[in-house]
Amino acid sequence: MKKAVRFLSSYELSCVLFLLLFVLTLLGTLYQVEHGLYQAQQKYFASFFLIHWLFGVLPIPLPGGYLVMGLTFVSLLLGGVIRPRKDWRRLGILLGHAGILMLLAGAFVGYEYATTGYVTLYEGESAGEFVGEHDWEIGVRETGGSEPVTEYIIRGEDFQMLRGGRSGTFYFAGIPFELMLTGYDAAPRATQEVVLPAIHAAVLPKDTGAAQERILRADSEPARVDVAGKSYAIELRRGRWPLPFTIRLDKFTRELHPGTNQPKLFRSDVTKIEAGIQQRARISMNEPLRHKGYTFYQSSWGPAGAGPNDRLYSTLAVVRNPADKLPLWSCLVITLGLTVHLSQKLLRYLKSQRAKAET
Amino acid sequence: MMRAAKHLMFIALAVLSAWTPASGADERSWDDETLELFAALPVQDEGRVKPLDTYARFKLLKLNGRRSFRDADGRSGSALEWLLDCLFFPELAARYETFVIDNSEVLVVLGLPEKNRRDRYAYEELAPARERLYELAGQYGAKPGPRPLLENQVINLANNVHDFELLAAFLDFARHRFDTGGSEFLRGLIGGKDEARLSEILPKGPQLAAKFIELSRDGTRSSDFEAIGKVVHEVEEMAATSTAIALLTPADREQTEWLTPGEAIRVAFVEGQPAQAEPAPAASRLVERHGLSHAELLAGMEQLVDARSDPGAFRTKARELCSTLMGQAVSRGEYEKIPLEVAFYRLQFFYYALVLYILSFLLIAFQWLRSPKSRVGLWRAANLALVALPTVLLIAGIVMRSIIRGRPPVTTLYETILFCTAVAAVVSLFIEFVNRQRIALSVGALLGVAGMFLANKYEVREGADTMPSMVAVLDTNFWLATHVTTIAIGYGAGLLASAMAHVYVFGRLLNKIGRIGPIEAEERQRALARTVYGVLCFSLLFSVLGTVLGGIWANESWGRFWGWDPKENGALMIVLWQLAILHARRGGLIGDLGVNLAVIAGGLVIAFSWFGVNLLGVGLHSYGFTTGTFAALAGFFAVEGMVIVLGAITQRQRCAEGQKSP
Repeated sequence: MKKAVRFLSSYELSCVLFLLLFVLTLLGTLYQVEHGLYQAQQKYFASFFLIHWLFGVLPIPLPGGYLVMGLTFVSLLLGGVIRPRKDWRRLGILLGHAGILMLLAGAFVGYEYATTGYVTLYEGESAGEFVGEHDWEIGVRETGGSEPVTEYIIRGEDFQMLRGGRSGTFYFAGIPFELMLTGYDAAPRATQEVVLPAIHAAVLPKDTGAAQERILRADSEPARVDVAGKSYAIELRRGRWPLPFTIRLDKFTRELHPGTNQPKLFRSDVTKIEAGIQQRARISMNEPLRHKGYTFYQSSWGPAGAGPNDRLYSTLAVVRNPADKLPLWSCLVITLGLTVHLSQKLLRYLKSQRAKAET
Repeated sequence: MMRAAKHLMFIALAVLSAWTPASGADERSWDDETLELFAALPVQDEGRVKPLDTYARFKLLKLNGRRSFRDADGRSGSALEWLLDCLFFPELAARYETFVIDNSEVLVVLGLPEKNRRDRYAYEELAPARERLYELAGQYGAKPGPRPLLENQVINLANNVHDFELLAAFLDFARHRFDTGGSEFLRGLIGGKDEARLSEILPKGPQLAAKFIELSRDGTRSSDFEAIGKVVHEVEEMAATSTAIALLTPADREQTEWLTPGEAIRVAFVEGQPAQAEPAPAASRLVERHGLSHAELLAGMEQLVDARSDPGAFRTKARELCSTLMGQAVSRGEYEKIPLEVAFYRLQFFYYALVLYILSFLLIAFQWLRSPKSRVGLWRAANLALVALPTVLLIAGIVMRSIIRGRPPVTTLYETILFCTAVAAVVSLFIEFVNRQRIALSVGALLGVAGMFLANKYEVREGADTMPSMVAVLDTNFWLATHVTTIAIGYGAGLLASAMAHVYVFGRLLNKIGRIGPIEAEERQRALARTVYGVLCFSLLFSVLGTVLGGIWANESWGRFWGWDPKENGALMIVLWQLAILHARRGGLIGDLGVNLAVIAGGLVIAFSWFGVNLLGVGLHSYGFTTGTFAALAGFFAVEGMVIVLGAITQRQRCAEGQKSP
């Protein structure tokens, strides 16, 4: 145990980890040229192990970013914060290491637990939910009726593990069939930035009738089935997340640098409505709106090629990140630590130089 | 780029038709006052208001690859003089060797005789292949995907030729005479004359249009109909060709986009005679303007063109016109920084800094050979001043740029070069001040030379204004001031550490070869290694901060702290590399030599992050047009690789010696 701790907190290990992460970063950067950001992220950083093909022919096994960063965290905690003697001379170093720990923790929380998505609004429109970016859901609803119907939702977490031959069957109280889902497939397509999943669905009527099979694909038309004289739509789509308030786009402004096509400013004037109380806010590049743990960023706009009098829409990126402010705090801690440490060092150096000059 | 292709023919004809052999009377010469007036003339270009002088400098740099030009008689002149020649004496300017062609294959493709490599060519020489040039550029431009170098060079040349043609045709509207002799209606309209200037035609625009419609309804092709049609067509051509420079302020104060004469011609022709001054409160914003209307300004330009061969009269007219245009910019609050920018380019801070850095490096290097006593007293102060002076110039230049743009010091790749150089120089001055070894000072001077040289190279290669307008996401001074400056300080200090590590490695090599004063040399080497380590720590502080701040900025603008974007990765790689060095040293894994060699390798990591990442052409940060950077970077990597190998060999030798003498 002692040996393990000593190994984990050793300078040797920290150097190896830095160099491994360095190599991963370099390879992951170069990989983007051919394969795009998303795949590079998945392969090199959000992984435990990977095979890098050197010059396309030589397979080299490497630990993935998750593993390396996880070990770095442990090594940092043991070697940088817990084990070193605590005295004034080490205060700066201690703070610096603690700051980096916070940063890594914050990045991890952000990466694992943040919900990201977007909401697109035309001027005058409002929304009380946003569309998730990386999570999916399946919606089942009756169509053709004139009255509003309940839509049944299967959350991504309930079907995304049904890969290969695994299957799961879902029942709904008001629906005359069971839905058997098999073979969830979310393999990235070549150079695609976003993965569009698909899943096989078998509709099994509760009473009589033959099973109907459909393939549900993300970002395409819902699948239609007729069971017991009624029509149903089944749709695989991006997950929707409710907002604890409503947001309305009042006006979208886009300015170009005069005489050019270079954007100078994008701005959404919005009103957030909560329990009947309206409050205006302004969102522009680098100036997001934060409210109740949700942050809204100016992301994009459209329609492309709109004229001066066309009605515009604005897309706001929505992020709910429990560790939203952690990087900022850790940055302050790191700054403080490194400044303290380097000033101590510099003062000591200056003193020694002066002593040298005097002798 | 190649818009308005149908007008190009017209421009070419206009330029060619103006080629009457230069008569003695048309001898151009610009006196100082005239140059002064035009230098500070505000124009709007690439999204910002700038002096005509700046416009001229970068236009010439783009076309010619130099900051000055030679006229047909071999006399050299400034960019502004070249621009004025293009505008007022296009027939002369067509003979100047204006176009730089890097690759003689371009001429082969165009079927033109080639001169020497990187020679310059006059418009006159290229004109015979003009059609072919535009045709090829159009073909290449329409092809999807990355293009071979030659095709890009052809497209470039076509753009440059087009730029020149637009300048040459810019004042055609002021030179043109409309034929009114053939039509009674036209003669009547402009007071019985056989020819008319544009300023006489413009106020009659609505009448001409009404008459034209009336006659076309008649269906008879009368001489009036033909003549009016020709006039309208010619006005349209003027409007389409006079588009190079936006120098007219819009009448509407709310509007940010300035007008070119072409646009003003179109508006004036449709509006016709401006309504007599009546008290019209509703339209007051339109009427309320300083000085003259656009139509009057266009008339002023006609008079200016008429006076081109009489320097005295030209100066008077230029003074009138320039002061009016200037006054309009002043009243819009868009003139403030213009004189400062003119002064900035006149003072040539960076050029003088380069010269002084070279001088100071040579002087200090000379002392290295001479006396070891020059570390004290007056010598020391003089040495410090030698490097301090160009550094002050450099910083003054950076500050002036910041004031002109109202921005923090670093906003573009070009400015990172200036800023990193300044950082390296200031840190080296500080080190010298403390340890008096003259090593930091020499290295600082050398980096000064390298930085200024690189900045100049970069500017020439890009051939575009180095103070461009900022895209929306960058347009926040707080983040520019914090993230970008800290990162640049990290780069600058890291490069200084790398340069000083070279001295360490070379010193070691020399000791190996010459074995000069082993004890003193050893001590000096050890002190140097300590300094390198100190600078490395300083660099690390700013690299870490800059990288984290970059993440926080990204979190503010996109909602994610880290996205593995290439430039983010580049910064992270610098941090990781420097951290690895520090920890390896602390852990006793590497000694002084190891640290120094690793620091040199760190210089490569910085170079990759600074310029290499942009070559990848992916990600959010891939700004900066970087042709030829690859070759330069590869060369740098090769040379540095050799230095590292050489240094490593000294270690092996030492080990071998150690084994021999137990």
